[in-house]
Amino acid sequence: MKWMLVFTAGILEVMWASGLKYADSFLDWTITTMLIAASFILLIRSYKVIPVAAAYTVFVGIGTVGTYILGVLMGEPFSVIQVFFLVILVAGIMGMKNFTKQENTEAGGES
Amino acid sequence: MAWGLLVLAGIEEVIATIAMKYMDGTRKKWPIAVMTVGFIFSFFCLSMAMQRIPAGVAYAIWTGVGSIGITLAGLFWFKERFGYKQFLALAFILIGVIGLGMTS
Repeated sequence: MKWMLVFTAGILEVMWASGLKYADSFLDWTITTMLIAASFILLIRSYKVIPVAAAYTVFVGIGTVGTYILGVLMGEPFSVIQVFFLVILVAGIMGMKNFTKQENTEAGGES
Repeated sequence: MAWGLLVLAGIEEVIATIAMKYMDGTRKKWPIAVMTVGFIFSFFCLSMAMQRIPAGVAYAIWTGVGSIGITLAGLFWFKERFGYKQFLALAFILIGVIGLGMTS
């Protein structure tokens, strides 16, 4: 369940990262700033139960995957080699989540 | 010069993230200050480095340095226990982030 905090933080990160790129009015920047704050608050809360290294790396990974996919949807070019790295990255995120969860469960953590 | 700024940005990112860990546990005010200053300075150095180094490459190196630094901090500072499977997953994420950045 705590992984939901990291995933939500990562999705918000994709939104504010795009905001940094496209924001050009006061309202846009206000929303972007609020998204940054919300994203970090969720990440900080996840640190209570998930090791820093696992949480932060997954957070960064989701941000990279999300901004990349969003970029492609917005019409940026992509190549086979990039999709290859993308698959490796997603595999790493899933692996990190599953392996870390197992250790937490062993230590009497939540499921 | 630009690469030095980039490494500096990565180190500041690690310091800010370590401060984040302290925020919740102790409910003290100083980690918030350390985190805010660290991230602002880190983003500043990153954007300076991007003037010389292509943005995608700079961002990939920045996250790479940050992730490695935070993993080392987790292991040696916070004494987090990591299995070999987690290191494998971490390596996958790093290869993915850096590879994607370098080829963009």
